[in-house]
Amino acid sequence: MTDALLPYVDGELGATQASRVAEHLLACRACREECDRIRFAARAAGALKAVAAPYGVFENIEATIDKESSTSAGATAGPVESGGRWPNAAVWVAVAVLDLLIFGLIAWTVVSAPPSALEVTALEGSPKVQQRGNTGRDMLAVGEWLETDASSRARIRVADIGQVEIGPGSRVGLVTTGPDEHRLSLERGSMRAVVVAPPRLFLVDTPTATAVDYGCVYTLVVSDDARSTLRVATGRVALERDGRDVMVPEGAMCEARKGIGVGTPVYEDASEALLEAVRRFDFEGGGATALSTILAEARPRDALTLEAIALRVNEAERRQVRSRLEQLKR
Amino acid sequence: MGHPRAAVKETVDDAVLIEQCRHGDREAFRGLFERYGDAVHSIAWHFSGDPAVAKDVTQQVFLKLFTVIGQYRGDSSFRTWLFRIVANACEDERRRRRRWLPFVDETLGAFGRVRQSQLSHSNRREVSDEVAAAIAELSPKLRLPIVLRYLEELSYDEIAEALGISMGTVASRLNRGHRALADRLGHLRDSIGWDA
Repeated sequence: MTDALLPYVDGELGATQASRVAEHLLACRACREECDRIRFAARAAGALKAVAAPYGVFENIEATIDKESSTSAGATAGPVESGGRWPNAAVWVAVAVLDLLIFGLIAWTVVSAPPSALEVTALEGSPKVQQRGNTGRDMLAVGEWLETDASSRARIRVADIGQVEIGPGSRVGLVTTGPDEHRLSLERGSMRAVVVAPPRLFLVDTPTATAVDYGCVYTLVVSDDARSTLRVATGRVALERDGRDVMVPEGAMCEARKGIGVGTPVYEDASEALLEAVRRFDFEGGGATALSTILAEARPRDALTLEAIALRVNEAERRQVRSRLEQLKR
Repeated sequence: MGHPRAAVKETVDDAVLIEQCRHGDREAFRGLFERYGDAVHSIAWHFSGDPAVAKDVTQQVFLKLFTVIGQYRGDSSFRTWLFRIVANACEDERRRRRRWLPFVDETLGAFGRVRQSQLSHSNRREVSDEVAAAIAELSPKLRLPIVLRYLEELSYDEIAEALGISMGTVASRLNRGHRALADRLGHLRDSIGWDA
């Protein structure tokens, strides 16, 4: 009953449940006191005030957009003095010393700057970076693509956070790499990522979703029809698209399809009937029939799937899902 | 609770603005900022407790919005979809900065301490300061649901969608948040004007 008190106070319960709670409150002093506490906290939180965005924020945003969208015509050379006399020896020495200092500064900057490319190693066959055949090692720079044919595989070392094995028949690009984000784009084929890093540091775009690492081992396959399939071996990965994201835990999988988006996470050891029903529900308009099968086949562990589905169905179906979830909890 | 801009209903105007934004219309983009800028800033402010961070997050959110608005398909509320971006930006910023400034002092500093001579209005204001401070002391996981619920008046469904969590998790986090707030703000129960 305690769990129902907050939704009751917040007006989130249906009429029947609300009247049940109200009846219970008449008889239960502890719950009445708890209700008072909730009401008090809710009223206190209601005192929160909006804080208007400071003046000039939008102008900053516009300026940044302008700056980023303006096409760089390249650095304009500064004015160059010409003619005149040759400098004397002292000036030459000063220029040489200055050159050395500048060279040293540039070298230090290059060495200390974060890498803008990732190391690629051929594991089998001859993977190609930008069409360059590669039987050993190469570097994949930002904006470049690595391709493997039917008989080749490659490994990309993702800075110091992990590595990604690229399967045969794949095309993968490096979108960005730096201290805040490493992002690949898997256009087709398969990859297996082993990453040990803070959440959201390693991301992979596919044509239908973005896989966001939360510290894990996972495989991602993009088929010819652009369908993305994520399978998580350890840890967690989020599959995101269009503001919707689905957290996929260890042992679970999730698909995303073109024109539809991200589907429902489901444990791979679920029954065949449940897996099939989830596929029909997500991508083939399976509707109520598929939902019935999902509810009937769900085990307690499949609460993962039911909770995700509860967010996407109408109120009547949501009640069915919740009711099943309650049964599974017992 | 809330503020005028957040209270703007999502009408067809939103859809028009969004469509125009997709075609790079800056005036339409400004329109969206005017409609949602304060809400975005308020969420970031109450989440971080740091005016500078709130400003940064607001800018990041609208820069992101400018680039991804084409991905909004209209099958969920734009407001909720936008708040998802806000929640991610808040979380990313929190991780990036690793630690946030101690909220209580900053908040009280930002709002300014009220003077005894300012009667009922000042009392009310002090309450809101204390509430903001108490909310800032919640763990980040509890903080966002509370802010979305009571500042933006989102339903459980909408909070679940904005945060990418189940409704059960929303209810659980709100529950824990309420308990913590009731404990921390218990001394306000008898505040003058509190029940007014």
